[in-house]
Amino acid sequence: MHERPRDRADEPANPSSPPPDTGYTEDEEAEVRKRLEDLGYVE
Amino acid sequence: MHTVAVDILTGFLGSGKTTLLRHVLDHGLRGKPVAVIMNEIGEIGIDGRVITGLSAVETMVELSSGCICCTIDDYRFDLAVQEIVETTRPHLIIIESTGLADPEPLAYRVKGAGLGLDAIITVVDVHDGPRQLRETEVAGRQVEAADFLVLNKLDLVDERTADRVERQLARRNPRAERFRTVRGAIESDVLFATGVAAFRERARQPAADHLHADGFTSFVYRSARPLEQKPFERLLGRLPGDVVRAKGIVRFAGRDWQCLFNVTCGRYELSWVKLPEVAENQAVFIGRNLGRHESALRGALAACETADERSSSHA
Repeated sequence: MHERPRDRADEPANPSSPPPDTGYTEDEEAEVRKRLEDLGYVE
Repeated sequence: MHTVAVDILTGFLGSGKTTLLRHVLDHGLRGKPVAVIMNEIGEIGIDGRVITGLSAVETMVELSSGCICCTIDDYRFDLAVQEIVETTRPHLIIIESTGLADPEPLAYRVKGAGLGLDAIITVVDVHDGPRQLRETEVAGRQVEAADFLVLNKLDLVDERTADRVERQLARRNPRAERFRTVRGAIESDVLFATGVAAFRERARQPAADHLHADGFTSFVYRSARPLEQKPFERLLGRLPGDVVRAKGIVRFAGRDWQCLFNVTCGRYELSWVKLPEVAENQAVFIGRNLGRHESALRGALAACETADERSSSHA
C-alpha cells in the first residue's frame, strides 16, 4: 500500500539550498550516477 | 526521485502528439528505455494501445478517467509516478496530456512530485492551429507554456501559410524553440532529455558537429574549482537566446551536495545530488550559432569559479 505523499506546498519549485543530508547508500549513489550519465549530465 | 527527468508532451486535440511520440520512441532517445504516462479523455485509452508494445517503452501507465491537469488529483498522479519510478526506474518519463490540458499546472504537479521538469513540448497543427487558437483559451496556453513548439502537418499547408502560423506562434511565445514536421517525424535530439548525452558525444567531434541537420552545435565546459552560486544562477537566467539547452552538474562553494542544473529555452531549474566521486564541474551547452557565444560564455563561467573554496563568501 502506498502512502499518500506529504504536502509539499511549502517547498519552493526551485530550491536554492540542498536538502538535509539524508545520505545515499553506495548502491543508490551508483544508480543515481548511472542515470545522470545516461541523461548526459555527467561522464 | 529528483534524478528522473520528465517531458510533458502536449498539444490540442488532433495535433499529432501520439504520432510524434510513436516516431520518437521508434527512432530516437538513444535506445534508452522510457516510461510513458498517457492521459486520455474517456474510459477507454486508444492512444495507449498505439504506444504499448514499442521496444523503447519500459512501461506505460494510462490515466484515462480525467484530465491530468485538473480532475486527476495529486494522490493519483503521485501514485502513478511513484509506481513507475519504483518498478521500472526509467531514465525518462514522458507524459502525454489530453488535447484539452493546460500544461502549466501539470508542470507544477511534476515539480511537486519531486521530479525534474525537462521540457514542455507542444505540438501544433499548422492547418487547424490558428482556428483552435482563436476559438479556445487552452490552445493558447499550450503554446505559451511550451519550451519547444512543433509545427506539425506541414504537408497540409503551403509555405506562406506555415510561415504565417510560425510568426503567430512566435508572437505568443518568443522564448520557445520551433521545429517543423510532417506526421511527427522529428529527428532532433534536442527535444528530450536523453539528447544531451548525444550532444556531449558530438562536442568531442567538432568536424561532424556542423553537419547536423538541425543546425545545432554544442560545447562542453569543465572545471575543477567550485562555483559561486549567485553569479552562476544569474548567468543561467541571462543566457543568450541561441542557447536552447544547457545541462550539467556543478559544485557550489560551501556546499556538500552538487547541483544539477537544467536550462531549457530560457527556463532553468536546479536540483541537488550527492555524488562524492564526481569532483569536477561538467556542463553541456547546446544551441544555434554557439560559435558566436562560446568564448563569452566560457569567460562568464570562469568568472563564477572561486579562486579557493575557503575564500568563498557563500554561507
